[in-house]
Amino acid sequence: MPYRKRVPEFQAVIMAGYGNGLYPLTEESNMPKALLPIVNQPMISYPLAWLESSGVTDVIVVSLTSGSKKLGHYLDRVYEGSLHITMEVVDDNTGTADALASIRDKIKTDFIVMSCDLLTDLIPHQVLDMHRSEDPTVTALFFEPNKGEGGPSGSSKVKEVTQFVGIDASNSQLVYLNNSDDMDSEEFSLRLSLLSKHPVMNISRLLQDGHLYVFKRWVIDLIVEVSHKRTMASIKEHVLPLLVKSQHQRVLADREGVTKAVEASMAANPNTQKLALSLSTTQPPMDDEETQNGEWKSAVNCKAFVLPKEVHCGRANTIPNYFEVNRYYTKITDKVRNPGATNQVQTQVGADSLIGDDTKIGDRSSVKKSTIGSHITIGKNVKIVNSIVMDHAIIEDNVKLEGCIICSGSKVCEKSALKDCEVGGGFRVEKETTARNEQLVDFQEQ
Amino acid sequence: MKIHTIVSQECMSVGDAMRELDAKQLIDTDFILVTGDVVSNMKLDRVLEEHRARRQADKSAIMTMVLKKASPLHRSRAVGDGSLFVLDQASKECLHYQPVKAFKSTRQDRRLTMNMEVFDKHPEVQIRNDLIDCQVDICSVEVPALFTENFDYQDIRADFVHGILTSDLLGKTIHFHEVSDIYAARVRSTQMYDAISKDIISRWTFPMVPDSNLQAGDCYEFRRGLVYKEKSVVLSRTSVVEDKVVIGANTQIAEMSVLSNCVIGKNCVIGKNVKIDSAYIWDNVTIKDNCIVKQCIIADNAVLEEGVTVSKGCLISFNVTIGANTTVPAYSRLTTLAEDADEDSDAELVSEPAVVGATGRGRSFKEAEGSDDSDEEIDPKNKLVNRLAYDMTALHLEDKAQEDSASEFESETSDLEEEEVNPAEELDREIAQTLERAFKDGHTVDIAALELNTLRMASNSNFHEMRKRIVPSVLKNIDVTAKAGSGKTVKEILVRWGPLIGRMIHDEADQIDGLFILQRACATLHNDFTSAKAIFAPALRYFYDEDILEEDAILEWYHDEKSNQGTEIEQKLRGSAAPMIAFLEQSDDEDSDEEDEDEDDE
Repeated sequence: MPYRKRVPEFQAVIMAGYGNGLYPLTEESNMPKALLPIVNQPMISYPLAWLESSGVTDVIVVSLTSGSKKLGHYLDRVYEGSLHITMEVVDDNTGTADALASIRDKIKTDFIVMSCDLLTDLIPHQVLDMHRSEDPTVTALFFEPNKGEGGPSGSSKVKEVTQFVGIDASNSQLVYLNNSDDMDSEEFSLRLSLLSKHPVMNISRLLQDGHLYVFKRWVIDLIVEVSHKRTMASIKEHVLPLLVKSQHQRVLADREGVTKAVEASMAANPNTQKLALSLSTTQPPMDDEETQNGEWKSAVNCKAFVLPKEVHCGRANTIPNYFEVNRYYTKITDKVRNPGATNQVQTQVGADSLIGDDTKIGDRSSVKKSTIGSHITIGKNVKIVNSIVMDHAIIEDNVKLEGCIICSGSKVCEKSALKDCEVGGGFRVEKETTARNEQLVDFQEQ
Repeated sequence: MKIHTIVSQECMSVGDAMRELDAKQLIDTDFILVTGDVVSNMKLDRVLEEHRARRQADKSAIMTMVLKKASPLHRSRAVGDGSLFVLDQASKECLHYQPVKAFKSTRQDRRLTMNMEVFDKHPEVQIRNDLIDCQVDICSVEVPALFTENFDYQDIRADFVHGILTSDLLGKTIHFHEVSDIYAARVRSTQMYDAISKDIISRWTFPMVPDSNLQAGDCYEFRRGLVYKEKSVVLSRTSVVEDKVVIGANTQIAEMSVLSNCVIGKNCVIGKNVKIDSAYIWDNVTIKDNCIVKQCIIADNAVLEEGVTVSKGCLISFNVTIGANTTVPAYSRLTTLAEDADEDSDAELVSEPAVVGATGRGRSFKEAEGSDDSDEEIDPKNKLVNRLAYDMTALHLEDKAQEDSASEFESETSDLEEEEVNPAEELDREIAQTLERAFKDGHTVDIAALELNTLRMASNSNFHEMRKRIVPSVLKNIDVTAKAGSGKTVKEILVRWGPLIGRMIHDEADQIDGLFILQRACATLHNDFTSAKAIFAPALRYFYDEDILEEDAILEWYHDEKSNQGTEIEQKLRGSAAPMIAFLEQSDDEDSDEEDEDEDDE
């Protein structure tokens, strides 16, 4: 027997985008989105750990040119996990589908695509098992975002587009997907033929796309096709809706090359399912009556995995969400909350806060509901509530921070009072500044 | 149980009945509303409990509908009129109701449409196409009053439920109770009659089955193979009773007859060698030897002579006699009522030997036309599908013309196309229609211009697009060969509609653009140069005279290279303008000469 390399079941692709919703945290002066700290750990380490626990061994991280150096450094030098990580760099302003199309040759098996900002407690095999057992074209994760505790909303309010997600209640097939933007604002309308195929359909406006997809191998060919036709082609906006519609609309499936892609993959890998069933003692599943009537049946099958409500899931894609995720993980982390407690005099650190290593906190300061990074100097009589302070920042005496994000290397001088502000990387907040709902960033020529 | 019967002559619908109840003030508590055709074995106590609890908590919950879960193609779901419900599973509230027709002729029929506002209160909804509407409703006292308030409500679902749910003012809610393990269905059509009868025989409706002998005088016994037989039935030795048969008292069945899947009433006489399958034969029917009866209903006192064949889907009414050796065509409906019986009861029945045989008695029944005075046109096909023993293929045979919408699955393709109507084409069509109306009804230029401008704004278009469409449409009306006075000559049309084109032209750039469009339109309308010129030259002249096109623009156009490109005719048309250009250039010179002279004078 010739030696055969073990073929992994899934490859994983992590999309490390720019993070438009996180401006100004993702400015060049601070760090790329994937490295933003969540509970003092880079964001991307969470999806990596998740993938590792799912048994995936090969991961491709797709990064934009900007920020690729810092991310590359992290993955090469700092990351300690056992995954085999390859980094691919694509131009800025590349859509997610375009980015995938560019790494087509590296995709050899069914693949998982996820965003670097997805943090979830979901046990990986639950969603992967759905893909294994039901054999769909794509399995997409949907979750109902937790109601935030209020608090800082961030000054850059990115209005989330609500999505209408229709799922067949009997077999969790994803049958309908529409952005509220594209729809008539007065009327909700749905084809009846869809309802006769899926008599019990749950339509939800609460569910959000988790940006975790498990695709069949052949979908990569379709993605390449789609990315040829459009500029800034995205998985969420173009590929997924196309697949969902192709389940029911033959004309569309033919026109957009879905049918072609399926047939090509069928020819390349003849379905072994039939053979397996004929050898098995299990009864083959009965063919649907409908297929016997010679009716067209799409080769595409989309499934939605709806996260149970009690399982946490969050996407740190906007500033409010970033806050939310940070707060949640700060609460449940098992790290030492205040490693330098012994050297402090009359400091109060709340039980729902976390202080990094080598951070000095001056006398009579208090920290509540906040995440403080490492190597930070906090002066005397400072009050920090509901905030995130990243590494190497300096907070001087008598500063009050509420609902703020202080990026790394920045300095807040004495007696400043900031509320709901984001302070960009390396920025210096002059003393006695009072600001509310502002983004304090160095002006940069574009 | 005490039963009150209320007779009302004017009641034509549920709505009328409810108004009648309200007027007579007969109801002073919450009540259960059931239609007379419901067959069900459900226990209502749980529904009532739920309803009461809900009413305690929320006074606006005025009604609880009982809905039964089934598959969309369940036989006790009527094919012709399904219903779609949009529900909120958390609050058990019904949010939207829409009836579904079997044949979806319009785009509206093929879609579920509901108000977006539903999602504001209920972000998660469930759309159900698998529910049987039992029409068992627990209503609050307000319901009859609401019917009185809204005097146009007729149907309890299509009008009342829909009206309440879509009304912003009433603020009432309608809830549902979903049941799955009981039987409930309505006998709304002969098809449902068939389906429900089969369900009863198969004991789905237990305890309401024949051998419960609920009616006084019944004495059915239940035998193997779902056969129910009265004690007094006379079965001959060689007759065969297969599965699922009900035979009433004193019925006699002679030698060699075969019965399967059928119901036979009391006092029937079935002859020798008769085959009966899936038929419903009521009381006192006589079926003589060698008849074949399939998938039909035969009412009391009917007589089938020897050798009659009744094909599927027939309804044979009271007292009809069918002569020997006749074959009754499929889906016939035979009656002994004389035509116009209600007008003149003495009218003699005229039998139709073609359908009932030479010695028969009866005629085929035609529905009185125009009796249906509802506002909506009901697609006749939607009525047909509710018939007994209906199937799609039969419909195909009868009516080939309806292939366009035969299958609801075909609709997808057309639907897809519809969704992607090109806005430019849309505008084309709208403009063409507007102009057509204007030409035909003789609108004034003002009105036509107003309409067109509205269209332009509605479609977010510009004047160039408008000119591109209006100019050819106007020129199309010109008949080059028409005589003066016919209203079709170049001059008459231009005088009438030229100003309309003028309304679409504002500055010099518009004028030049207009000229190009005029040139192209003339060239495309007529293939030969002479007729194209016959329009182009006078049009140019007219527009110049009316100051719609100014000389600067005409000169600009003439000297523009683009005007001398394009098709042969287009080029020739430009050539034909040469004399006018020469005239214009000359007059231009004269003007300047005059000016020069003036200067000289000073």
